[in-house]
Amino acid sequence: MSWARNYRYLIAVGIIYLLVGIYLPRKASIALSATWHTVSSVILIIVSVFILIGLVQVWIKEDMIAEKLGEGSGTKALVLSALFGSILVGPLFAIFPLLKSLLNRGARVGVIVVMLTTWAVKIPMLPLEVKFLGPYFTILRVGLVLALSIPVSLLVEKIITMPGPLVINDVAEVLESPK
Amino acid sequence: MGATDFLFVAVVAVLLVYSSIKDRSKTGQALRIAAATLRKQLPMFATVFLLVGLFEAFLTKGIVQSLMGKSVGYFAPLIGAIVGGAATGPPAVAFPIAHYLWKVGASQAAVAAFVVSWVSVGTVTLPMEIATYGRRFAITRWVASLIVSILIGLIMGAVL
Repeated sequence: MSWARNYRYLIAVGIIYLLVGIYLPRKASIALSATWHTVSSVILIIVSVFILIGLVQVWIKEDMIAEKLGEGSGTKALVLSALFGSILVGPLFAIFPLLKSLLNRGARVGVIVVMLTTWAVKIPMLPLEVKFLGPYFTILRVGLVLALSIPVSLLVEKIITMPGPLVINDVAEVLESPK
Repeated sequence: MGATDFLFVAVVAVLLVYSSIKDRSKTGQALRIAAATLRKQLPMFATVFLLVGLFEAFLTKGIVQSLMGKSVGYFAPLIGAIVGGAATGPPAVAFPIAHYLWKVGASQAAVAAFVVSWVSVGTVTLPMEIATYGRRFAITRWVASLIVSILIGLIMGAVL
């Protein structure tokens, strides 16, 4: 029943609409026209965003990133990982295996944290953000995420690699454990 | 369609043409990925758009304004970050919801914290992250993301 699972929320909303349509038909038509207004103004953007995501996935391969960042430890590696983190799109857990293999190859922890932080930028999706929240909001948000990512990552790196009682299952231990 | 929309669509079209000149099969694969991802997320998009439409029909400023409004001050971005961090779903969906929150009285600070937190905190994926990197790494990163979300919210609230 994966079909029902995928569509359960949509079905629930459909039922709400049905009830509203029966008891408050005017409200239902306002809701539908608001929905239509949103959909018609963003549908082209959404399709373009997904095409861009497809292109990025095909042209920017994991081994390419691993090669560029594997042994990097300087500022260049941090900036590069900020770049990759910003361009790539997808659920956060999708890059966990990649990042783990980067750690195994000797990348510094900061590189990993930078990529996880800049994961919030999502360049291919920015047009959608501009559409809904405006250009100033978008530019400011992206600027702040980028400006904060490196200092924050260096701080997190310090905390993580700091010896102390906090170590329960720390990075080194994870690295030693079999995959 | 506005000028920026047109520009973006045009840029993607140019990239698509360039990509297909360089490698036809790779481009086909990109389009298949795009179609598959879109199909997977379509129910979610439809649900959120319909839900936001419903919210707009019953527009109530009360609750959102009293939790995330300007008058709430520093707590507004805090609540925005918590709600965003607890949410799951494709990030693209965060934007229409954020737009709605803003429309019904959430402050800019709260909206910004909500968006940044939604796309970066990842509470639901935390167990997976712990399994991959260990508790210390995952929790430190999670806390840092939450703080950064609130911080960005506060800065944007002050600037915008």
